[in-house]
Amino acid sequence: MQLEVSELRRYFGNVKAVDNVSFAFGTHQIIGLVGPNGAGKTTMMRIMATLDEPTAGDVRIDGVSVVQYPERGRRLLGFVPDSLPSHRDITVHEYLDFFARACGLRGSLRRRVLESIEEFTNLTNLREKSIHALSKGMKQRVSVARALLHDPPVLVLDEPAAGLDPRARIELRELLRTLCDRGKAILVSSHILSELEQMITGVVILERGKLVHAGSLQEVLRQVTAQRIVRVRLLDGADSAVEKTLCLPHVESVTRADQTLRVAVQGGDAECAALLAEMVRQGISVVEFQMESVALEQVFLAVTKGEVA
Amino acid sequence: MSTLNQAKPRTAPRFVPDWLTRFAERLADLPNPIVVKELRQAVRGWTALAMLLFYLIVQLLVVGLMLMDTPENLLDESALGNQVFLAIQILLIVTTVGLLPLYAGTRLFLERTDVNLDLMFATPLRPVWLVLGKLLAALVLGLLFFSASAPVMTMAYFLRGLDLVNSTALLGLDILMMLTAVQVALLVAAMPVPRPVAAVLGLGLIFGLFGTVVYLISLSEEVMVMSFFHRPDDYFLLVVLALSAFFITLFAFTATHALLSPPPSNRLFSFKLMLALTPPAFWILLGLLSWKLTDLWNRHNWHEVVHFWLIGLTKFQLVAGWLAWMIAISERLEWGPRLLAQVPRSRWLRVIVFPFYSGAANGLVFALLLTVIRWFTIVVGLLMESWIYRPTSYPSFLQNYFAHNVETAWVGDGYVLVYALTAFNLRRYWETRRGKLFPGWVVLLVLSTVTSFVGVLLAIIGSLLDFPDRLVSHAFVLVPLPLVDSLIGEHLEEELLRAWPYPLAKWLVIFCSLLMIIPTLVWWLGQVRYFRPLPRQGAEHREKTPVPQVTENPGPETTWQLTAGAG
Repeated sequence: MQLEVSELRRYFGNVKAVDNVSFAFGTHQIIGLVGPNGAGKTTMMRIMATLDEPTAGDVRIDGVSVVQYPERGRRLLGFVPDSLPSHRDITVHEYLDFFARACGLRGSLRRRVLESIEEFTNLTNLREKSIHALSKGMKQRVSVARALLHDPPVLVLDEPAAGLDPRARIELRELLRTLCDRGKAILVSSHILSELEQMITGVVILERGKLVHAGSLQEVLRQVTAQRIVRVRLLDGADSAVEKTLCLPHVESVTRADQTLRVAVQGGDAECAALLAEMVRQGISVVEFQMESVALEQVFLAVTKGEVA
Repeated sequence: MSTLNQAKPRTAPRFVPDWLTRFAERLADLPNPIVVKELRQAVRGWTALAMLLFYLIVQLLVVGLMLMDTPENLLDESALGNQVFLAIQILLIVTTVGLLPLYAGTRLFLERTDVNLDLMFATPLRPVWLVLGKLLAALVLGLLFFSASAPVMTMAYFLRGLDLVNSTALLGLDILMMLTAVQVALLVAAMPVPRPVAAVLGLGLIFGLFGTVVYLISLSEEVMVMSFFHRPDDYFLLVVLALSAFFITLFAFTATHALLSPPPSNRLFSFKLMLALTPPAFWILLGLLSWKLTDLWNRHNWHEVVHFWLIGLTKFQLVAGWLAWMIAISERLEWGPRLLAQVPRSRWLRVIVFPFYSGAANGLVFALLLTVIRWFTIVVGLLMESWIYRPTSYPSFLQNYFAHNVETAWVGDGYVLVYALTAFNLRRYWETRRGKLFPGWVVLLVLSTVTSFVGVLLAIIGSLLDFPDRLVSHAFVLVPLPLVDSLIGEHLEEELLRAWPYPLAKWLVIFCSLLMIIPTLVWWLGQVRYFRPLPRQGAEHREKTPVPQVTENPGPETTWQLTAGAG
């Protein structure tokens, strides 16, 4: 199963909300969709959810065009919009039952599905509570439960963590990880990058409607910067090791803290491997050699300029 | 596909046979999901319950007071049953035709102002089910009020004086009027307008409902007190009312469906069909019923009746035509893939359905089509007046009606065409060149307001300067309203037709029409080429360009462990 966005464009008059965006991802993946406000994230997600139509391009789920065949697309995709459910005078169970009926689930199957979804999303104890009386976190759970009713292989979530307290965020993160493990392909947008980077397997960065970068965090880093930071823990001889390391090719700077060196390397994986080999060859007693992970925030700041469409 | 929904059913002790459970489940699946949701919300909310409680209390009070007020010796002989029924009838009309539509409309309005509609349309639920569900839910609630009155009505029957035919006919009319009022309220609630405009529309709806309630109450009094439905003409009135209610409901239903459907879909198809077919269907049925149920055809020459009937038909067609122009200039300029996926592959079928599809190019053809059909009706009227029958045999108000009106009719149509196309081309220019999005109907409204203002200004200047020609105040040159008025009312005064502004208006219409038709036609010819079905998905799928993968599919995490003696 694969979701493909190909050459997607959405123009509102002169405004290019989404401008020629293409990427693809598959099952067992959580992809973060990030970008400044007005970058076109919500527009793109609404197109995926068949609530809007592109000016050009297509979105395919398992080869089915959701643009041409929205009815088929809706069966393959679960959408969680950025707004929370706001129906009045209806309980959680009745709300989910309504959407289960709308999805065409009938009879005992509907009852079984509702029970399993309520259990999975920890809503069993809240099923008789009015939706209106729920907290934001609980409403978000209801939203996710609604999107899961027809067991879609693809989930699209627009700002699901917005306004949630830390506990609700952690619960949501765990829920999405479990869904990913169960074989869902998940696209999630968020402004809370530190939260996002703990669950995503890849990232799509948009700015002014254009795709800036797409790939895993490390891939994106490779694309945006030519420098790596390597943390090297030594057994002893840190003073001489600093001098020797500075003389090695591709090394830009070395910072020392006790027996640990922080080495800035100009280049990619090959240069780092060469550095390790050279350090060992020169007799430096390396205990640990580790690439420093890059925060999503750093990547985001490196590739975007904060411009809106 | 993942397998999330695999929980085992809860096992509870069963006292009901399985076949009965299955039957009950199937029965529970039958209703439209929207009906189930709406009724659940009505039960949990306070509004519907408060309405029902209030209704029961008032009903009890009214009937109790009536019975207590009546001397015991009159109970057997007076028409007390009649009066009790009338009181319940008034209560029913106020509740089901007045309050229930407001409740249904408000519910839809509150629901469509936030994300809820989006959520519904992200499911396989179709907009037609949404509208039908809202209507049926209101019907069920309405029938609850009727059933709450059933015991009192039965009692009214036993109190004597109640005409069963009249009362049944009135109850049937009540239900139909309730449906119409609810559907019109849903239409108003579905209009995508800013809140101040929605408030004005809401006020208009309240006034409209109030008028309907007052009319129905007066009709009920007339029927119950004067035994109204005992003459053929009375049945005709009942049938006309029922027929009007039916067609208005159908019209409002398709319009609501079009407004609630997502813009990329072919949402205007059913509405356009209704707009094209409703006026003739309604009018033909009306003609046939007047023939069967009234002595109208015996009292007058039949060609007089047909003539009058044709005049009425042109009025309906005129209003339908205006609506068609208004919609045409507001539709999307281009067709999206969702709509093109529904275009027929047969060329002939494509030509036939073209005017009825959504899209500005289709809408313009549809509006022209309605205008042509109206002119066909006018020509039939002219033939009747000129060749088939001697006009002298007509009553004075019918004599040469079409002949007198035909000139003002074409100038009027010309004005409508020029205004519509000017608004359309302005909108098109702003949208394609400047990137500004304005609905066509807003541009048309601004255009008409501006030109009307200029006309009024000319009139004021003319009167200030003591301009001798009073015709300036009519401002024919710019203002379309007098000509539009003339299409609805009688033909223009001779003096006005001979005076200078009118011929000037004719030439202006011809000039402006050409000026607007040429760019529109050029655009239309360029556009119509794209009205083709999309290539079949399989073929397109093979040709698609490769897209970059965000990450390779890692698959589920796997851990290998060395286990002793595993074999």
